Amino acid sequence: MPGIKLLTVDNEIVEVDADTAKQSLLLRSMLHDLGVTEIDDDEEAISLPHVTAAALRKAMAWCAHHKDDPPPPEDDENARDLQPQQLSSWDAEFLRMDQSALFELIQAANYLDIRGLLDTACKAVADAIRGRSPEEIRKAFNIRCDFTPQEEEQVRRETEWCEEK
Amino acid sequence: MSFLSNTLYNLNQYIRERLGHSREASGQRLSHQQSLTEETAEDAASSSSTTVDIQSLLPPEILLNIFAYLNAQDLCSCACVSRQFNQIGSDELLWQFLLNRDLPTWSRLSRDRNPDSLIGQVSSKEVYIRCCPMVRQNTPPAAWYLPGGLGYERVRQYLSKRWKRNPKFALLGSGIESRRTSKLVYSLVHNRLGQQFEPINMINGVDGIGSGITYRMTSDDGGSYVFDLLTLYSCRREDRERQLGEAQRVRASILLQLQPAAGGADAGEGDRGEATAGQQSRRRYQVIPTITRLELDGLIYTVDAESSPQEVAESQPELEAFAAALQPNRPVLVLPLIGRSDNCRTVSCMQTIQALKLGQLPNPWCVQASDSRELSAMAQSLVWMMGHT
Repeated sequence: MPGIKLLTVDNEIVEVDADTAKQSLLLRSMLHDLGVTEIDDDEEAISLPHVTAAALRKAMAWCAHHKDDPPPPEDDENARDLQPQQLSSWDAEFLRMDQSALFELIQAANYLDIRGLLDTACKAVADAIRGRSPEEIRKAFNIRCDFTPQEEEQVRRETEWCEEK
Repeated sequence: MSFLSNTLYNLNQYIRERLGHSREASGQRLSHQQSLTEETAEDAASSSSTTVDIQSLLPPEILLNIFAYLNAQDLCSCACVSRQFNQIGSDELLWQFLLNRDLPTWSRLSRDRNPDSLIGQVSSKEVYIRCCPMVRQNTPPAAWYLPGGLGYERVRQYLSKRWKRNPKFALLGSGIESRRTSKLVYSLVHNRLGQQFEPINMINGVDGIGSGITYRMTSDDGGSYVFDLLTLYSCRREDRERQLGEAQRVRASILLQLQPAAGGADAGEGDRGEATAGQQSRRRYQVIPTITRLELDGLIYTVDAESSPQEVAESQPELEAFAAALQPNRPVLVLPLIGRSDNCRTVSCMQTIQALKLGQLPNPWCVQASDSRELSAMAQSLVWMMGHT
């Protein structure tokens, strides 16, 4: 099984399976450009300046599990699911982690360009927002309300129609 | 759907384009955040919080991606959270996406909630808010809308003073003539379940047209309404069985005659068969005098929602002619009907508005997606009609 070495931002070298890594469009084009085919101890590790080792391992675990998924539709189609679907139970379990780890994973998926993982993780965050009041959302995501009292009153008024009848 | 298809964008592409620009920035953000985390660790005594601020960790493009999985109501909650959430949650493309996603599913639109007249004029968020049937309007409707039945009582008293006779509605259109959806009339006549529509009288027509039934309708929240319902067919039953195209049905309708040409040329009924195709597209109809004498108080115009937007557009001259015979303040209720199963609706409310050019009608109108096998949606929208009579 060919593997490649990646140097993460926290200075750890992580070895990953090349086929799995190719689900990352960034790594795929890197591998293509570098012509890496199999692991070579003399080979320098590829440096990933924006990804932590923990997030990289998580991302690769996701890719390994989803490697047989049908390829994502082309960008120029109206690709996004029009009606959001529920996360699979495997994904939901996989994404059960504390928020900072989840956000790091999203950042990693974004940087590595793993679209399926990025969308799945974003869906998980959306699930955490759904059905909550503004105050509950602030609490859940540690957001400081930076409205002035007048502004807060104004946005509240602007959105009050949104209560469904 | 001209607007939606013309500016059909791909939210993913948009997000990804913007992600490309921000990739470097988000990387820096991450390392910046890490140094913050380290500082916080050193300063642990001052903070026991284990959560992180989503806004400083995730760039706006990713928040936008997250927001695209939410519904309008959740986005309104988000808009109240913070300035950044407010800004991202009001993004024009985000709301275009939502509109694109949700509009075909809206089952009730009306002149006051007409996306067709607003799209391109105001922001997509505003279109959504002003038209979505699930959104409560800021200005509450008239007193008859009050819950608890009190309003209905008030309006009934008002109506009974105002009317010497029952309001008279005509039921017509391709929906009740198409084999797929004509069950609606059968449902009305044979409605034994729950007696939502109780026939209480027969009405004689004039010149063989306009006979009908007086119904007492009970709405879902207990209101009671009495009205005359006249079922108007454009041809005899044998002709209906032949299921001609919609253009042909309108052209051959016994309820319509050609409008005299403006230049005074004689374009009487006799010419109808011989006109060329080029003239056909320009023909304008008016209702026959018998219909005018019926003094209708409103139209219930049915269309076959299992046909196609193009077919429905062929009905437009018929609706136009009937609406012109109404007082401009009289209501027009349009029912796009399905008759087979829930997933065969091919014409949405929005497409109906466009195909029938409802935006041009002076009358108050409402489009209510309905199933020809049951009457609850029709009953609901009849309450709306009574409010406009």
